[in-house]
Amino acid sequence: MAAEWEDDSSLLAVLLDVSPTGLAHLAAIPGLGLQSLLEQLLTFLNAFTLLSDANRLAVFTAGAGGCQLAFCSPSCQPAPLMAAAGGHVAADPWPPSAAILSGLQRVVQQAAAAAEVAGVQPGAAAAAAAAAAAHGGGGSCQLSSALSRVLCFIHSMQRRAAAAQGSLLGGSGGGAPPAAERLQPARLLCLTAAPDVPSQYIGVMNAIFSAQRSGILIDACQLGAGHSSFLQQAAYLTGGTYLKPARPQALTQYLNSVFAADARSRRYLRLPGTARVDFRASCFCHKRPIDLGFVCSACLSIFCQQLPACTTCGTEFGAGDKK
Amino acid sequence: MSSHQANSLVAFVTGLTGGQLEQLFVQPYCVVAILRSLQPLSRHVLLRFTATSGSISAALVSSWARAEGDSKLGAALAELQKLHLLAQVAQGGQAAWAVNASFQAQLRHAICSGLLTEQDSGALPPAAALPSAAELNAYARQQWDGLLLYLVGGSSQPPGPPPELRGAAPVDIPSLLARAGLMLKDEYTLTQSISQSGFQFLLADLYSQLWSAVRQYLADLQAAAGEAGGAGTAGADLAVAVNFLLRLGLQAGRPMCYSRLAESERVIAAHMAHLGLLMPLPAGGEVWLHPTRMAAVLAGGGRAGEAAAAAEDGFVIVESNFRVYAYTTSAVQAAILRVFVRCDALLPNLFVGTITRDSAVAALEAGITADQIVGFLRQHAHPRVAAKTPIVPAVVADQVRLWQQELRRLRSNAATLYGRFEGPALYASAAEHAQRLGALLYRDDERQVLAVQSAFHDAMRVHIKTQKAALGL
Repeated sequence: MAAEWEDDSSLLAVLLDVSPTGLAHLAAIPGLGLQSLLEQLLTFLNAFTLLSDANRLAVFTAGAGGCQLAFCSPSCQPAPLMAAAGGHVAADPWPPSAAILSGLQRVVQQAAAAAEVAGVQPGAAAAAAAAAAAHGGGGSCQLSSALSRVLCFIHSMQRRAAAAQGSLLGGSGGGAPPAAERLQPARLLCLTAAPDVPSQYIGVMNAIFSAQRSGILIDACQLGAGHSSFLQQAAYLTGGTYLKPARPQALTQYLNSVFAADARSRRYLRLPGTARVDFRASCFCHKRPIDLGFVCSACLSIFCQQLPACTTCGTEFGAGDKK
Repeated sequence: MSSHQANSLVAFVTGLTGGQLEQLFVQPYCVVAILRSLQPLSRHVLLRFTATSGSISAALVSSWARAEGDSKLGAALAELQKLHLLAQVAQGGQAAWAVNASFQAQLRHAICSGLLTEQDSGALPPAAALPSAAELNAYARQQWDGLLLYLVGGSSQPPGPPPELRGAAPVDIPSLLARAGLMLKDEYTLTQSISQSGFQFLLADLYSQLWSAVRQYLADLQAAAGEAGGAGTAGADLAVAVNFLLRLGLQAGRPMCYSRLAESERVIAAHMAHLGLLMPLPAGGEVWLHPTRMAAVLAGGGRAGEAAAAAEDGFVIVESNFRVYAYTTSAVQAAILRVFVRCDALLPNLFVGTITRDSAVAALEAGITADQIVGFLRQHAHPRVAAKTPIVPAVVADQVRLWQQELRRLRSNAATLYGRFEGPALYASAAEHAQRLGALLYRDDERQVLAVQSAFHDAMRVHIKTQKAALGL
């Protein structure tokens, strides 16, 4: 087991949906407002940093305007900031709660301001948000781009930590194995209340596959009314956990008992699984989730109706209606 | 627990027994440190207990594990029970697990509102008063080198406490070193001089040095607590001291205001400032204590501690002709090098010496091992040579090890020689018996002679007598 990371610490990236649609759905949940969500999330983040001194944390918010980094552990600071601090990597001071809270509030206020500009009131009924989603997701979160951004961030953090550790081991003269093989385990926790935006199907699936390939777990906590097929598939494919809390107002208990566990401890713990995963694909032509469809034999594109030629790769299906 | 923690503050804490451990559970930083020292699964179990009323039925707890994790969960629960964090209680006729109430309260507080206590939240000294990293290092080095210099006998007085904290009682460094077994007191002259383990202490890395001094400091407090019957203020002193040291680690680099510390914390704060872990700096009518690099080394424990110590600038160059060049102005470093290097020339900033057979053997006979010598040279290597492999030329390292083996070629044992046995059967039986006892040093089957450790003479005599009777000789 030489290739394993030497302790149980992990890198956790949290992706919080603060898009107007997401906020509207959040406000519709009884007993859980945005303020309460942030407070409960904060206790979870505190608990996570408490568990191990090598645990690293990054919090992203995904809004209609894009994905923003609200907080990250000092050891995760982007390179230019590190250089400004004299290249000195300090141990993460504990607790980070004050910094997280100010970062989150800043971003959420921006999001709320953006929502007012867009004309969607945070207190509006879910119907208005659903209508916005139907208009091609103008007010919803760009899940695909946010996932890609967070995955890129995790990837660069893992590389940097491995390089730092490699140089440390090399410096002490030990015959250590190449450090590139030993990456700190990472997970991504998506917190959202909004339903899927089918038009993002391809992008989201590509992000999920890249997470699966680089061994990053995607955990998902769907707070809203319906299930999220995208996040169910993401958790299923990457070995993460998908949870739709029965009582969202007691969020902190769900977070602490399910999502605080690192990948190795999860092997031994009984965690809520998903009985049925909605594997339905969205068609490439109308972005609608479909049960049965037509698949291009050349490029595997999916369509909800029979076409004379594939719109993706241009292959002609001329012989299709021969009796 | 991973191996690098075997020799650390946290291992000391978790090694404490019942009553003393209970007193730690009301100290916030101790709670965090204890939590982090546990197995991952134990931590998650505790986390699930945080938001409960205090007890959960045993059936529910055992349902947390999957089938393949049952034994792991059992081990985690046993670990928690051993540390008095969980206890088995009966609740309404059913078995249940109850979490230690004060531990739960501290953990809940830490999770909900963080560790910053009211007294140190927000307040920081004016930025202009903050010392640079070099000043901090210089202060830590001055205090610690003073202690080392006193240890090697280079100065007759231990380093004094910082002038800013004159009012507080300083650490009694001479008796601390004596109790740690690093110095021995001469009965007649009443002067102290360095002991064999003191020499080993000198060559150890900074973390090991620091840890053995602090461990002795804590052991003294623990002994005081033992005398006071485990309860009362003495026991609380230990808990406060441990909490303070752990806090240094968790709030790395954060200065604290001396006058706003609790009464009991001021004592240990002044002591740690005396040892060089904290640098006092007066600003705005208050005295602030700024943690130095040594505090980070201590807090980091073995692995992180070595990394922090390695950042120290090296100064030693060893050539393959056994010449040693050490670019240092420190009297302590020169004194340490003199333990195993013959000094040829001493320039203002350079120590030139040679590792000779005499100098090395003298050090080896004083109880230092070859690995410690080579380790010291490697650890303090000048940056120019630190990049090369091997850092210490193989010929030098091998020769020091050969000299050590040379010393071990002959070994003396008090022995008894047995000869002129009455017959080969008696000889064979006696030899076999000696072998069984593990006391056989030499046997010559042709001449029927045995050498056995003297300590076993009585056992041998009894055996030979009974054998003689049995064989009818």
